[in-house]
Amino acid sequence: MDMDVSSLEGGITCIRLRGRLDAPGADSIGVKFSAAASMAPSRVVVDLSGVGFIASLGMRLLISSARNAKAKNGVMVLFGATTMVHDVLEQMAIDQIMPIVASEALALEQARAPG
Amino acid sequence: MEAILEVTRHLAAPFELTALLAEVTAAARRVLRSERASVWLLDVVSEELVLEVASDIRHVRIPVGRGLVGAAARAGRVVNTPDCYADERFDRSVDVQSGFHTRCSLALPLIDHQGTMVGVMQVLNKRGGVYDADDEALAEALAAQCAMALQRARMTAALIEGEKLRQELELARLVQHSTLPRHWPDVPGYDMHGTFMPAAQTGGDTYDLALLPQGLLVVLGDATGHGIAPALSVLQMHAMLRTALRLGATLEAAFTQVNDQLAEVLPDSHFVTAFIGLLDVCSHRLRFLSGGQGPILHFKADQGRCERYRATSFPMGAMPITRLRPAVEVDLAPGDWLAVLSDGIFEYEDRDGQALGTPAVEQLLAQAGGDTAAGLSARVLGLLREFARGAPQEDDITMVLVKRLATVTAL
Repeated sequence: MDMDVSSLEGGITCIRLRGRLDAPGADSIGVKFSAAASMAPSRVVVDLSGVGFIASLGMRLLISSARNAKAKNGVMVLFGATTMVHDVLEQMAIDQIMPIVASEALALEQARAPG
Repeated sequence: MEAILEVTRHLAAPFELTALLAEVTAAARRVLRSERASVWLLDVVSEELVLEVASDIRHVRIPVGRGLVGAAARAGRVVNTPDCYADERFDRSVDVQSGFHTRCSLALPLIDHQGTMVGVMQVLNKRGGVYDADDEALAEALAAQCAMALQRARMTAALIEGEKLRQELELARLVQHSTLPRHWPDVPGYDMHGTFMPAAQTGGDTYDLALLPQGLLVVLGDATGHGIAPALSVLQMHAMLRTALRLGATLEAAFTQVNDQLAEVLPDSHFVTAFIGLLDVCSHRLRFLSGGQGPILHFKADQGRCERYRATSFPMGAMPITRLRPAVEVDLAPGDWLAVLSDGIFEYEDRDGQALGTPAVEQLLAQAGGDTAAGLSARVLGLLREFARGAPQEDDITMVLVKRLATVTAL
């Protein structure tokens, strides 16, 4: 599992993931991902376009990070999910915890919106 | 030699460390005609020697290298000191603490059979003189026996600890299994079956099938991961739910209450996905709420296909519910199935890392017209075995199957 972190305008953190977000994948990026997602001001967009598979432990990582961001009055937005990953996220009603949008532009718009 | 053999016999008996060390020091005093004997064990983490057995002083720690004991540890050989107060390595502080006057000392490293130094044995004040070469040889033989006995005592302690852990896990497994229904409710017109196969000794899943005043309760819960922590989370969810429903709560009230309580008590990053349904066995209407548990499959016999339902809300305990979405209502027609399966089934990976997925299960449901619920459960497990081609089970396998019978057999 690969992960790139970049800082965008407006204090937004962009995390790009590539690979399988299953148990080993979540393990390999867990600490780095949580740390990046909690960087002040906790406005985070996550690019899932390179994630081909997501399992429950990967979901747990996303949920706990989104929850932490929310606790700091921040937000975490997912974008670019493949059909398979989007389907799994929807099955588990993850969209009720964090927005899931199609494109990076929409994700940035949501992340910039006042909380 | 006789004295050493006698000591060997004495040291063969005790398996407990304290008793063993008491035997060692008693034997050393006797064999080497000494006023005092003590055993210091090496703490490899802090690189200190810890005084384990002495009658008048306890809890003394010295760095390896300090004093005569430390010198024996560092050198890895006998340090024979005929006049301690004349030797600059001698550490007088222990005498000061104990009030004992050390005249002469023989300190020997305890080396186990792998050549590792595990501690130091020290005898003090030989009656009627100082320690000579014969005493050194005798002491070395004694130290070798001690080191072996010491290692045996430590291995025994580790085995006992391992056994205790195994027993605790077994107890946790029994507690978890005791919360699962032993028999399915006997509901005319329905056939049902629950299956739970944990990946580890304790699992993070649970299920329930129980006839309550509110209807037939159908539950499948799955705390992420497996082992004791998720098992406790899922047991907590199950117990809260049963209590709420027994107190007459509606599906919505019970779901919200359990979710919000879990959000309060579960540690960060712990959640439980749960399907909670109540089936009115007279009207055949199922109402359910699902926290992160999906897909939920409803096989429609008249159409020969499955309807998939997603979770109605996020995994339970992730955060408090501010606005509960309405429960899903499903009418079960004759021949229909409700299949709630844990992700341990849908996500079971074969040897190439491919997950089983939902369509394979739906296909099986489409061919299950004549199956009993237990029969379909067996077929799902068979499908998994065939699909896995020997790939190991990584997650708990749990399923609850409810079938509305096509015809009710009169008893």
